[in-house]
Amino acid sequence: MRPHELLHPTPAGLYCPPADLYIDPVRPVARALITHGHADHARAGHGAVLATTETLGIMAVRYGEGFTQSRQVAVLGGTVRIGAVDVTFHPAGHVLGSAQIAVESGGIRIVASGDYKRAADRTCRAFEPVPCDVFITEATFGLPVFRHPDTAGEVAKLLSSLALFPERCHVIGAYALGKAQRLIALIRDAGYDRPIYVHGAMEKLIAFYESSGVPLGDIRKVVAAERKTLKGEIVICPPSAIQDLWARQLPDPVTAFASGWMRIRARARQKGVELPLIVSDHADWNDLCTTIRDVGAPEIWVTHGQEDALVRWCEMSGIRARPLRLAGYGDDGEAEPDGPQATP
Amino acid sequence: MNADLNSFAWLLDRLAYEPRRNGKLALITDYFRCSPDPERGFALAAITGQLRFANAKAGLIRALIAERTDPELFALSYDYVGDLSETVALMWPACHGAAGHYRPAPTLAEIVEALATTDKRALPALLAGWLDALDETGRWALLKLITGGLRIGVSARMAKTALAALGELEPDDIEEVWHGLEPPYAALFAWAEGLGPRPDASDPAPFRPAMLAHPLEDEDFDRLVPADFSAEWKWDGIRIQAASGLNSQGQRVTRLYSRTGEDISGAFPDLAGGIAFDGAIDGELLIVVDGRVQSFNVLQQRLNRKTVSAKLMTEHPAHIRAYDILFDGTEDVRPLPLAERRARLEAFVARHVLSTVGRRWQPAVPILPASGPDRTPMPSRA
Ligand SMILES: [Zn+2]
Ligand SMILES: [Zn+2]
Repeated sequence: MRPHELLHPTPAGLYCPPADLYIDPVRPVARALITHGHADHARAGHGAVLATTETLGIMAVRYGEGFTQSRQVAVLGGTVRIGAVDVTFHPAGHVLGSAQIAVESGGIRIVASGDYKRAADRTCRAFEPVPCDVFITEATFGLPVFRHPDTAGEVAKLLSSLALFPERCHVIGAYALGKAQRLIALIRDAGYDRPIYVHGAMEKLIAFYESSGVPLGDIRKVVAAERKTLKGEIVICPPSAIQDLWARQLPDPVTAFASGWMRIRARARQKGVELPLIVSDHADWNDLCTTIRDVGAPEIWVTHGQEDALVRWCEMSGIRARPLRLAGYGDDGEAEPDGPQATP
Repeated sequence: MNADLNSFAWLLDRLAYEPRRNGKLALITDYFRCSPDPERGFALAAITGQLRFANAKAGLIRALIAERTDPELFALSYDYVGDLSETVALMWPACHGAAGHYRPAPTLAEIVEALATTDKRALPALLAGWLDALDETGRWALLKLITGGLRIGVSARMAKTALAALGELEPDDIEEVWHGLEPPYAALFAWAEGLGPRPDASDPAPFRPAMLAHPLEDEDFDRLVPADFSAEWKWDGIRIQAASGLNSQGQRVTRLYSRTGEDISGAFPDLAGGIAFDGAIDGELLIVVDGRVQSFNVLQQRLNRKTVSAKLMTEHPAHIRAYDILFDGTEDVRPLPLAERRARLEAFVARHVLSTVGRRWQPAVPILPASGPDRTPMPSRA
């Protein structure tokens, strides 16, 4: 069997013919394997879904219990045989429940990374490199200008701004799944134990994280009548809300945004951000390159972002690589500041 | 807070994003409060546009990054980021924090000092060493500072207002003494913090940092558009600044400074004693005998002396060939374009100098077109 016979791109998503299944399909299919709960990877309406228990839970929170006709839990590290294919989920370190999916048949193993990161994050299980013949890597931050800084420094930036502007509310745009919870965890780890206020659109997923064993401290929903009292407090809301009337009714807000895109000044300014916080759910350039070396695959397929630069790096490193032009991804956890975000 | 460029860069970064005047003021005052002298003084100079770096141009920065990155990856990155300094700051191979590569980040004071004294040829290695030692924000700030591309939306008035807010002063109190003070403003900060007296801005003949000369390289000639330049002869003496004015008691104070600000008046009483203008002139110190400029060797006999004999003064009389005017009376003319300064200089020399010290002063030579017959640049001592 050749790699593309085991897995190849189709308009509906990555298709595995010997098992008749799709990974993260963008259209409704009979059988879907889902890497993680971000909206561009996890869609409602499939016949059957195989995913980690957390991802299934997140899909149920977002789409309701009827998001699929039948569901099956994938245990990280456990192998499920579908048709002639062995399917194994491995942790991806991206958001709660996120997984890489390995498909293996006829002596060939392909690992689809979904989205992943290597940086420390206590809200999800750490990425594990899986040796394989073909590694399908994301490339959201696949340019050498993206080297995410230490998150402690970014949180220090936020806390020092709070100290300098105690009369102002600090409102932080952060995606509702993953980013918001990780940011809260980082703020807590820096020793901040005041209540953290959240937009109503974030409540359910924060509660889901807490029920999954990720304590986040005193979290309170922003109540319209109390908005004026939030001077000097931290408020977290979906990215689309930071320029809304909703945010402007907070007391003299400092507009912050937590994203890997905040590394680029023009991006931050475009969105009217006053306090860019470079905190990302995705591997940065160095970690993309490190991971490609770690998995040791002789062939790399690059998707989901800046494919060209990463393919170029692989070529320079003597690794066969090609871009995999998959449509429909990239609008999730770290959509560009002006991308479609809204509420989940 | 650390005292290196990374902490000033952190301020510049926050200022670049902060739209509110009060927010900017709070950030600057906080930086001044947390940073030591002379770092905060040079920071004040940078914010108020008092620092100028002549040598570092985009071409140098492109050359440095080209030595360190794949051209295709650079092109993709630059295309994406859209700003050269920012792309280079982000792509620069990180030594910062890497084990075994630690070197302390430079201070702003070190950078100002080194850029004023480093030869153009030594600049690439110096700049690369700094970029290695800084983080992303530090690299961005350094590259923006030295290429003059810093846009942080802070006026000089706002910076002075932030300085006044360190203590009980009003911004106008700062304005009153500002004129005549030079970086790094240690006495000014001490006064603003209530820790020192009002700085003496009444020195009628202070040193002002000189604009330095740099040799042309062969490849420069192809890029120079003669119409954009003026030329004059380079004399083989030493660069000198002559400043003079009346003190608060109405007595004349005159000083001759070397290009680094060393007061060398003591070695040239014949020259200093003949000056009776209010202002400051930049020029070349020469020995002129019977209308002929003497060699540098002759000049050397008069340098590095605390006192000088009448005989030596008679045999080797000192002159100044004026290049530029820095102050005309109490007016700072340094912000004016060269052509306007030159007109001011010629009028100034005609008005004051020729009438008072005679042949010790010569009007500036006419400005020659750059495409003169001899394209070999004169070696520069400045
Ligand atoms: Zn994702
Ligand atoms: Zn994604």
